Amino acid sequence: MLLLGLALLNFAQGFGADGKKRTWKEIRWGMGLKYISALFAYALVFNPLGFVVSTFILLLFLFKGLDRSSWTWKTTIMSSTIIVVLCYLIFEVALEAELPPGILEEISKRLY
Amino acid sequence: MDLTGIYLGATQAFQIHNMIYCFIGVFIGTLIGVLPGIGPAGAVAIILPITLNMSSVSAIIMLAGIYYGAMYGGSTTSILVNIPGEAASVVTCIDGYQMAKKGRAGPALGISAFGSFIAGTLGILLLSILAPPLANVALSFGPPEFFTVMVLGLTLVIYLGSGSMVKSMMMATFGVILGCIGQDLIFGVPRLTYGVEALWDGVGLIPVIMGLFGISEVIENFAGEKTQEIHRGKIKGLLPNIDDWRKSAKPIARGSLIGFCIGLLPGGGGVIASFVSYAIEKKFSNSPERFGKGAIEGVAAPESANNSAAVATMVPLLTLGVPANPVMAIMLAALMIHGTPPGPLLISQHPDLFWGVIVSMYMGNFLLLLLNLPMIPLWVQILKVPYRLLFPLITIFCIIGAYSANHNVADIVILLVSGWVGYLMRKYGYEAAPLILAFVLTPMMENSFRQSLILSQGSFLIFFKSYISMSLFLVTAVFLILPIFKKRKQLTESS
Repeated sequence: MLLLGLALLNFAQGFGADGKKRTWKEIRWGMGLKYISALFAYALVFNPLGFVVSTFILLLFLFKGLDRSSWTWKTTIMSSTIIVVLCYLIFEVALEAELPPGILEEISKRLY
Repeated sequence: MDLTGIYLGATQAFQIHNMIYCFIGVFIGTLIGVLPGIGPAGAVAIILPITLNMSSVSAIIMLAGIYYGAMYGGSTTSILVNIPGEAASVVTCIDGYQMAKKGRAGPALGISAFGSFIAGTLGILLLSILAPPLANVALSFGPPEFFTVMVLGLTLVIYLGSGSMVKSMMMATFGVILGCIGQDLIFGVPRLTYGVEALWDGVGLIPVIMGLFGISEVIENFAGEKTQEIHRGKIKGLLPNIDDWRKSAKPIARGSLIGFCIGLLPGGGGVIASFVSYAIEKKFSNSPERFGKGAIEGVAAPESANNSAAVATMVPLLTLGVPANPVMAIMLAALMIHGTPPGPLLISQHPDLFWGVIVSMYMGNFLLLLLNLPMIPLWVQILKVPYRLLFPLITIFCIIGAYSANHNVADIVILLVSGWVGYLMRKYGYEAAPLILAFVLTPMMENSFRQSLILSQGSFLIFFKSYISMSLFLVTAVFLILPIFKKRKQLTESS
């Protein structure tokens, strides 16, 4: 069954191939690529940095870096903070999603 | 109809926490329906991890609420802004937006809410009448019959796909391969994992669906420019007048029935139902020239159809355990996680779940009517939330949803990869539905396939021994061969 599936895929790919080349260039890659690579970087630091810190940085990038936006740094930081805190309260405190604490926990451990 | 069942369901659905979950479900559903950029499949996938702490009845009540709630909400943006909030409301744009332009946005919104209510209620009635006997028939199914039912289901999904059939077939094959990743069901040998430990349990359904239906939309929005325009001007007079009612009564009735029948088919559901019922209304109408210029029938029929179709898609899930569209695939996953696997035994073994969900759907429909009519101005306000705030939020929700199901960063990576793949698929016109369904059905198909072969000690003839599986195979073959003849006919006609 597996082999059959693979064979079918190969067969079907032959169909798609010439169509693909033509439309390949029509995509504006820039924004989408930036966005997805930011997210991959985010996945990398998700555990070590923890949910709060990494999400905050990601939001800063999404609001300021990706959009040629008119938002000032102040509004960007403000809204990122609000969103992160809200997400933390909803998902971690209320719904017990057990998001990774990361470096914030380390810091608080050293402090106390 | 089973009155004891309804009573049992009422005792479940009218518990205060279930009523609250039902309300939250339809509320989120309407919200999702109103907001472009995320559809019911992505939303249900995001909410699923949250429901893990609930009882299975509450979870299904809420998830179902999101699905049929989205069908209501989608019409609002179609009519006011000419942007369909979700795919099932694309047709509503045609006449709905024209009505709004003529200053008749109120009646258009009104009739779509009432039509949805009537169709939804009718659909639930049919569901509660049809599902129990269907489940009884399905009780006589053995592994070979289940295998053929699923093969037929998958074929229909491919056949009904809106784009090219070859592309749908490619996607289904891709889904089958994805579904094969992980340990072999019987021998426990890892397949297609390439030594990656995270793939041993297979690829998770939730991150894949969120990637294909959530992240990919966000990428599309970042990569392209979608403008945000809002219909300004007051909406008044939500109640349609008598003339509107006279014109829409029959379209609503026809739309409900057509929607229900299409919803029963695998691959059916709101989108196709709304298109078909619009086309049929245009044919039935005495004055087809009014369509496309603000005919109220063109709003009433598809809106009714997509709601009754949304209810009808529950039938194959609850009676056979076979999901008919991506949303139902997530519902299937939800039922599995909660230890109530759907199938012919569900109604007899967990009657509280089945009837509880049905009664809650009656309630949810009523709630939606209340939510939709007086609160339309609020929903319009929500449309004004800037995209640059909305899309990062969707991203964060998807990530938290993907992570919290298994507490594994690998799921985030799967989410991102499928998001990118989903974006490319959108760009090149490949549909995600066949992929998701094949992906979900493959483990189930393989299971029943191998069980059948164990029963028959390796002989493939077992699939042709019972009348049911034999005839199902024949129907499958017809659907596979039919397009070839169609194509031939087209070719000969054109040349």
